[in-house]
Amino acid sequence: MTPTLNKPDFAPILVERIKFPYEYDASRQILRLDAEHLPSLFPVLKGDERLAFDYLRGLTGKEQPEGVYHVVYMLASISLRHDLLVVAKAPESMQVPSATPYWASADWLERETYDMFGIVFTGHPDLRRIYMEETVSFFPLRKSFKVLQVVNLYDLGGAERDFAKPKKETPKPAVSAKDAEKL
Amino acid sequence: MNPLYGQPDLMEKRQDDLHTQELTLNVGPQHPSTHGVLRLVIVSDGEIIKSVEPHLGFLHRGMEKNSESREYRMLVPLWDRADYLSAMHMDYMVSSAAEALMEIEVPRRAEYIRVIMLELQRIASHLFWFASIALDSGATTPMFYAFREREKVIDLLELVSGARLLYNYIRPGGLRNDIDARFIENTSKFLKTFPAYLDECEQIYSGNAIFINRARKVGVLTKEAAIAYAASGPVLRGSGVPWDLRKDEPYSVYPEFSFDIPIGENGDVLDRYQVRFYEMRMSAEIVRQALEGLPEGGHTAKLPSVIKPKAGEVYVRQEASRGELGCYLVSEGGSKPWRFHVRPPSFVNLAALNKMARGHLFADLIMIFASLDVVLGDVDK
Amino acid sequence: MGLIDGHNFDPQQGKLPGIVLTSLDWIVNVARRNSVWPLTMGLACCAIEMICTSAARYDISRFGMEVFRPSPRQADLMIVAGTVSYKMAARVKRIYEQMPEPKYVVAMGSCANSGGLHADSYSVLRGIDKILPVDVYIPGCPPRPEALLNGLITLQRRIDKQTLHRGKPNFVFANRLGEGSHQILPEAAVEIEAARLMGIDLTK
Repeated sequence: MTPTLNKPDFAPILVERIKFPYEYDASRQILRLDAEHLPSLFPVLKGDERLAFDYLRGLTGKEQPEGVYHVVYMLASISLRHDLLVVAKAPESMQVPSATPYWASADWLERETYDMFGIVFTGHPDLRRIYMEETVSFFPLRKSFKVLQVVNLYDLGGAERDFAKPKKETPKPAVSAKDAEKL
Repeated sequence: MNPLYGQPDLMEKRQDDLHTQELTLNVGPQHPSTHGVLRLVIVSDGEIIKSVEPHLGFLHRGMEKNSESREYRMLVPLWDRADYLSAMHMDYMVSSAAEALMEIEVPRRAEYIRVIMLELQRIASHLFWFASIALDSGATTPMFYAFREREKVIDLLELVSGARLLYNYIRPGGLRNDIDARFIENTSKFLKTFPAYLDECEQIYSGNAIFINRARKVGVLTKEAAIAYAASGPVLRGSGVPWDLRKDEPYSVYPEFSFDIPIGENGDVLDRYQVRFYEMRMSAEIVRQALEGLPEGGHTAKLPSVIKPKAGEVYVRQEASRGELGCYLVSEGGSKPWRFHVRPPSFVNLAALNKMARGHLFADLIMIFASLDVVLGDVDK
Repeated sequence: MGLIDGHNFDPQQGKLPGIVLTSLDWIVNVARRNSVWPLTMGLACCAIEMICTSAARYDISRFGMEVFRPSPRQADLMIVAGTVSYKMAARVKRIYEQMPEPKYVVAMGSCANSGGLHADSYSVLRGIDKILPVDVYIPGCPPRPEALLNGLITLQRRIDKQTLHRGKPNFVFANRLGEGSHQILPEAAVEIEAARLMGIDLTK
């Protein structure tokens, strides 16, 4: 029998340990909260022996349709074999506390999120762009950034113009040839 | 041999010793041992590395942004190009994410064939890694042995998909086409000869004294550090953590096969090397079991021509050749994803390079880097 | 090359006794075409097929090209195998300029030809020919090893037609506009502007 991933119910532990407002979806194991509460959440997630999330497997951002940015933490526990998705809502100032004191893997993942979204992780030891040059002025994964703003697709447009068939505007005769014969 | 050679705390031991002038050295982005376009800025004290800082982004193609302007089926060939050495895993990642969001059932035969393809791809990818680690450590001959076997695997994959490298074979809902008798026959033939040829590869290289001296106790990543850096795949298992998503978070039909998970002891280059070799044997074993138990049925589920999952978010993960390949997909109900984030295993593993290489000689850096099995397309996206 | 630059060559007249220069051309071209040393310039997916080409089954050494050089100073041929991002493009150009003449460029795969699948990206150069003179284009994504070999044979044919005769259109430096410097085409203006927005100067 292969061991499967545990699906424990975190709700009682969270009720006991967390004193700020949050939303917990027990069926899909997603925890939603505001980013300002993260500094008090991280030690609970890492330190509580019933949670023991020691493995930050992924971290990314996303933009909601209404323009609010979320930071998503994909956490797992290798010792207890369970996982959790934490979705934190970034404030207007785009300042989110860094997770680097708790998980070393957050270092590069936060740099990537900063590079793509411009979310600033306060307390990060070395927050620089990771993919793009430092001189770049835009954050590519924001919905307000359109690819066409940087590069108008000059070549593709030219190719389309060359290969597109010109629309022939043949005026329809008022009376067709067959009808003309009949007449 | 230098008694200090290969000890991770070399820097500390040299506290009272003679220090030379600090040297900043640039490697890459065009360098044969960086396996692509990676730039490493190395600060060294004489020949001993004080820190390594990778500079990424030379192959950044903005795939996550481009994913937001493509339909789900068009994402498969796009993400093929990310980790080009294990394109099947990338195909499976896109497909499984879309399927998880749509909650559709894939036929069992399709899942079996997927497992066959994923494991064949793992063999091909690891063989390529074997060629490159041998080249990086200065041996040319093993490359030709590895490529002889790899071409056979590529032939099998080409038989079903028509492409040599980027397959676009696993698609949302199932597969592009079913496999035929010829594929089954050729694969069985390959599986009969493969273990013996793998032995040959091991004979020619694994016991080589020069290689073992360069690999043992080099680039040690302890268990705790591997977990803290969220390393995955052979890097994590080489450090002695029994964590394989095929067993621990089972997906597809992997629970139906019996196979072992190799783990290392010290977390050095040699352990990662041996873990990968054992994985190749296990992959061949899984393919054999899957071919034996291949059920009848259709090769794809029925889907509309334009896939429109309902609004929601999902994180799917799988054990790719290089480690945990995760995909975080957010849909707002349209025919295109709202957010398509990929957790590339190479990217996260590479973050531990500084930790591993610190205190080693410069020549060891090449071996440590090769043992991580990094694909730059995967790192940069 | 005293025979050309020496006293018996009149640049005004631009002529030599035909038979001497033709035979010399032939000898030089045979030497050049059979020892084209490529640079290990693998950028992305196409690099894997390039490595497969050099392995046993496709055996690039049949054409005298198996000597992949890691240093641009020793290489004759740059096979641009893969996607070129703006960040890399400036480096590719610099590496190209470090290669000694005569040098050749093969654009391998759709990305190097035109941007390929990533042509609508914000960080990818749409075709290496915007910044480098390309001798042979190889289509495919990625091209099979047979296609790469075909491209290299095409390059050999091109080398065969070279002459040392200054002023002839197929003069060995002819496609490099003068003494090795390559002028950037006006079509590249958009690419250069886009790269400038990312803080990269492609014109240097």
